[in-house]
Amino acid sequence: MADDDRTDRRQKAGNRETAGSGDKVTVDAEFEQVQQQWRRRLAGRVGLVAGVSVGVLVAARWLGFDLVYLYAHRGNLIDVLFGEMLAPEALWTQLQGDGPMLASAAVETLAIAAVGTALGLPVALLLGVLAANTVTPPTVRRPVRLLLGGLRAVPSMVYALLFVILAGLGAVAGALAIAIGTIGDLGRLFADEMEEIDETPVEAVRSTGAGLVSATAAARLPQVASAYLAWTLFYLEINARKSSVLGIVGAGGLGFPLIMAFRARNYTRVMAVVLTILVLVVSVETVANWLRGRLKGGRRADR
Amino acid sequence: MLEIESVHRQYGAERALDDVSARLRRGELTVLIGRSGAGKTTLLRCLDGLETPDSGTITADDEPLATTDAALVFQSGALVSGKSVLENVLDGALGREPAWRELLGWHTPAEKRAAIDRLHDVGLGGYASRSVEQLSGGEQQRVGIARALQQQPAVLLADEPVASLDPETARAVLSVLARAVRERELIGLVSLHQPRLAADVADHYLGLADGRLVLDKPARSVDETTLAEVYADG
Repeated sequence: MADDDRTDRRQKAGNRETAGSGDKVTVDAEFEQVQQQWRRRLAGRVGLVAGVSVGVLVAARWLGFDLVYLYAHRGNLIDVLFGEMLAPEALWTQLQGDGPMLASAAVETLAIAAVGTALGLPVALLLGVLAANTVTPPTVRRPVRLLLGGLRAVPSMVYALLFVILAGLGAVAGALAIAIGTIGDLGRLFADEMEEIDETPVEAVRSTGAGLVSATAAARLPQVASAYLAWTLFYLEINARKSSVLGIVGAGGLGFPLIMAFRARNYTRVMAVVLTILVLVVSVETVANWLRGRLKGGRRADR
Repeated sequence: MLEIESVHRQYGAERALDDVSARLRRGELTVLIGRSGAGKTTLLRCLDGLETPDSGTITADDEPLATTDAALVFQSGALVSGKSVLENVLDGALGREPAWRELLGWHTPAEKRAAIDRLHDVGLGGYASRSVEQLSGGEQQRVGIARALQQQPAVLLADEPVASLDPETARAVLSVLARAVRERELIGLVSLHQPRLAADVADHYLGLADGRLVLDKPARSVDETTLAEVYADG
């Protein structure tokens, strides 16, 4: 009897189930619908791929891309590459002769990256937080976002040229250019990161009567702290790469010997500088990776 | 018949499953009860093949239970956002399809029709093209069930499938699960926190406490006191 009762209730539940959902569409009709959508989407995708391919080909033609020309002149590059740049003995002699100069230029490059990142970081932090839609109203956020976008639109080389006017030829102009670039890029990344956080703890903190600044400090910044640190380390890497070419426009570091060697058509020296940049960038990256690893390990150990 | 034979599972010093043995029959829905941390999730994950027991065997009809033969419905749907309802249901077939199909998003018409059929089975006719973000909790869980059925499993598992739903929706979702088990002659095992909801659908009960099996009885010989004892234990 108890069993029958159970079955009864089950059937009732089952009926309510089908009645509640109300099968308005049949399986066949819905399948046709889905197939139609799929065919339309497929046609759209094929069209898109074809369109983009044609567009790229046309643009490349317009730029003057000519594979036949490039192939015919391959000798020029091969001669320089294997005759002068990748000639081990000549390169070794060059490195020994230029060693002290390259070392000091590398240290200068590193210093430009470090000082530039350090100068840009606090401003990026402030503007980044102000540009997050979860923190500030549109009246504040929009102009800040616009400013960050404007800063990003100008290449670092142009900032370097500008700051050479202010600070004269040398590393100071380079560091200032790096700082401005860092503000534009990191500010944007900080803002986007801030918009991704869980807002419920922020509400919990605000419900205690905390104002905007204390709520941000108490519930927002702790959520993004490790991400911000990781981005900053990544920017230190990028800035080391950037500052190694700013010297091309006279803003200090390894870029200066690089452009001088190019002008003198001393390609062996060019290769020596390129090698130094490579070692520098890889070292910074290795240290940054190690720091990031420690960071993650530390967080895990906290738990 | 699903046979669980002295299954052990240990995390560090903690015994999550301690010598668990049970038999589950086809076409029956078994409800797995026990307090949080009693080992319910671990048992379900071992049956699904997401985890391997440290010792013991799990066999279906005298063959080791294959991952593709056991489907698991997760607590909060666990649907992939950014994909349509239909695409989520089609994911159930991933275990038997070559990877290039999913890479290109190309599915056979037969699989698509079957997926739509599953959706109608769980009461979601007309939902195929919707995006999963638009669905309510109950609807998401039904998509989860449809995805599990698309796998064509012999064993249908569910880990607290209604924990985050209101009682009425929970009852409806559970009855969809129960119906699937009975109509398709599946071996069903569902962990539940609310014994009251379980009474509507259970054919059989298993109870875990501290990783040990403390209850293994058909539903007709189980009353509320028996269930309460499982929670009181330890």
